[in-house]
Amino acid sequence: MKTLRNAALVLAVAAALGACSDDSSTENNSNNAGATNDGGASSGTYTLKGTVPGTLIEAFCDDGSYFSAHSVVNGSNRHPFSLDLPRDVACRLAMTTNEGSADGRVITPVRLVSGGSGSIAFSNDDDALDLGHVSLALSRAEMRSDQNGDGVEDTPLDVALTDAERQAIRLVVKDRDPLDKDGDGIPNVYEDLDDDGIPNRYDDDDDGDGLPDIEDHDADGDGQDDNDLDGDGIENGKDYDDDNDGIHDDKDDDDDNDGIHDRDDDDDDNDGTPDSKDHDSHAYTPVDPGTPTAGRLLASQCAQCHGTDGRSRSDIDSLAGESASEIIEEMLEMQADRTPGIMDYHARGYTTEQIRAIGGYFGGISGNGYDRDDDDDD
Amino acid sequence: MSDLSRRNFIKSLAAGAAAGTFPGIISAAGSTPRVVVIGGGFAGATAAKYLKKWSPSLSVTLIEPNAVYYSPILSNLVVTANLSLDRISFNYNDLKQKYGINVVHQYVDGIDATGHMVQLADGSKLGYDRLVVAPGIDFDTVPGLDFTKVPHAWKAGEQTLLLQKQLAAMPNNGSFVMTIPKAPYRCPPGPYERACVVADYLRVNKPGSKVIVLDANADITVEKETFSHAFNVTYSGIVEYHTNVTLQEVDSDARRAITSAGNFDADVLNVIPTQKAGKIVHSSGLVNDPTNRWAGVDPRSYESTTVKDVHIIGDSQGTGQPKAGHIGNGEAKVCADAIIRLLGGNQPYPAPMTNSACYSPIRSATTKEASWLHAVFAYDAASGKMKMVPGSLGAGAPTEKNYRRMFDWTDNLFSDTFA
Repeated sequence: MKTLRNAALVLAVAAALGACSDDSSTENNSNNAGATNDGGASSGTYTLKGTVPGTLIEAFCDDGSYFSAHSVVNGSNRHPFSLDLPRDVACRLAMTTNEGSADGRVITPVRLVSGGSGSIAFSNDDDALDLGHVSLALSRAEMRSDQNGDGVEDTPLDVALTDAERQAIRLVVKDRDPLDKDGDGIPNVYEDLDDDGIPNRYDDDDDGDGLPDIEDHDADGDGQDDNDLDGDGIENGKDYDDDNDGIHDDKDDDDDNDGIHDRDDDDDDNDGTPDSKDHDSHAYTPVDPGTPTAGRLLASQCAQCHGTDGRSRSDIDSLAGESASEIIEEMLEMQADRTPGIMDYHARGYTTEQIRAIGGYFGGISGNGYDRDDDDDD
Repeated sequence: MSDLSRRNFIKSLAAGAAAGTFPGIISAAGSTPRVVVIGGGFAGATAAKYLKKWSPSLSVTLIEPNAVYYSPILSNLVVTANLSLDRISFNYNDLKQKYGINVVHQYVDGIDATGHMVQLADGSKLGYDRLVVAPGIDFDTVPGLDFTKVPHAWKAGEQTLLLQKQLAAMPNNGSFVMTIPKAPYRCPPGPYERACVVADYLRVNKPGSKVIVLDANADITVEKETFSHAFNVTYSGIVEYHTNVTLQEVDSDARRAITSAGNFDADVLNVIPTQKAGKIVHSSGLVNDPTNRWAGVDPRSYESTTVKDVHIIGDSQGTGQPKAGHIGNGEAKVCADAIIRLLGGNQPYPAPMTNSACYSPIRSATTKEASWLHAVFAYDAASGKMKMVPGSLGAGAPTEKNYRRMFDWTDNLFSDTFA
């Protein structure tokens, strides 16, 4: 699909947007291009907040609008982000770590869960929505499941809503979601149609027919003319942002995203610096291997005895392959051991929070160490 | 709202890439950031490895004059011929091949901190964005001391073999005299460990011989219980331990130590001189601690407190943490992590942790036993220093199990550093 341009969130546009008259809980199969875009009452925007490890956060909304933001590096492993989204328009979130690395990026669609039900599509009519910390895989190795190796989690990450949030948030459970045609919780743009290991959004040739998407009027290979520039599932006629560049088409004097400067938006990344002077308008926050985490640094101090990445080459236990909870539980027990050995003293050097960070790091590393038989004499 | 082909998209993508969707790494030349590491011991080699492991896009050059590194850790067991020198020998092939580190076997002549350049002995210069200096220790001059006759064996390799050879040639009823410098010195338990394994060697191989330990310190500096027991019980009648002895001069040919407590004649004389940061640390103006021996650093990054963009790790740094390979490896990771953050325009992790752990062979001639010592250090924001975490200091009595564990520890420590 590759209509990615790293134009980030444009707040002004988002504020001007918000007009969506589609009933988002029904399938959007209308062809009446342009018919619904001017009728909806604008109810403004709300701010979605949270923290992530260092991430591109994208929202794909029912009206075809697209929003994105990067988390802000703050020296911790919890980078805050905020994203202004239209109120009462169902949107879907995808969070990408290492977006700059074709073979290292990890894309995690998010599903909100409330009580027994969950949905990737949700809307909100409160002023703000704080997701809290969303713990994402920082590398392919840490992914929960990626059978086809395209860097997209096979299932969305569940984020549970608090009671208060349930009041304001409407989970929009759809029989047939145009932005998730197969209803698997992975937005169309992050499917890998031709199973080539490259999700559509980054794939020049989504259907693998040899015809590049830019020349392919049926990029999804369904036998019909797509009329869907960004491949998000919303046809251009109904799509407020045909090229998913984050700029509303009414404001976007460059709907085709051909590289001609947008007159109406001389600050593409909304950082306050005009594009003409902005050398950083495409900046993002890399995670792996660029952005260090506390867990990685603290866990690296285990390697002198337990081997690099916790993969032991001797009779000392490997830590790779142990779950976070195993490591945390063991270290907390060691702190209380009445006849302390060397590791028991070691565990006493750390706070519970640090132990959790260490456990979390090793929990994300698969185990295939050189462990010889563990004689369990420690 | 448009009905468009996708024809022109690629252009904008290419433009996006050219405009630098790359990590926010700052580099004057706009190219790959360059980190140069001086010294390929436990600290320097670990720094180079982890810089590249954690940030493969960095250009990392390791400058180390020697093609082979000999570990001081376990080297006392080479002195006593329990181990061969091969067992503690490491090359830099893995760092080169597995991690893509540029290894240069050269001596460094000087550092041009203003120009961000390292001057090599062959006249060439290497530019850096960040420099890591890890040259280990240097010795104070002792009048009359000739290391080819009176080995220190405190940097491993030829010196280790020389001491091994002299020990093997010692007569029965001989005298092994060793001096221990004022703390801080490299490997706190090391001299006491050496006294123990040499005593055990002499007990079996050179009956009637003695180990005379001349310690400049007021008492055993670490693992007092373990070493007191070893000197007074295990090696009773073999080890003779003297405190507060200052070495003044050496007669290298006569193997005589001239000290504040009189002269000591030896069949084998082992002088471990007073220590200070490596030469390049002194010549580059990085030494600024009150004793004028070590380089002051911010323990969150190991960046020099006097010279910008230069980091000092391992035995040359002056944080007060022990000077040893295990913790040098740990400091290197804190430093590597901080450099990656700093190059990305971020601040170092604010609460770094390190730890010191060490197994010491106490008996190795017939029965084989080792003790251990351990502590965790945490950054203390109030004082800006690394402080030992209360409750984390522990010591283990010599056992056979610990002797086996010692090799499990070194196997992982060595590979975490060099492989």
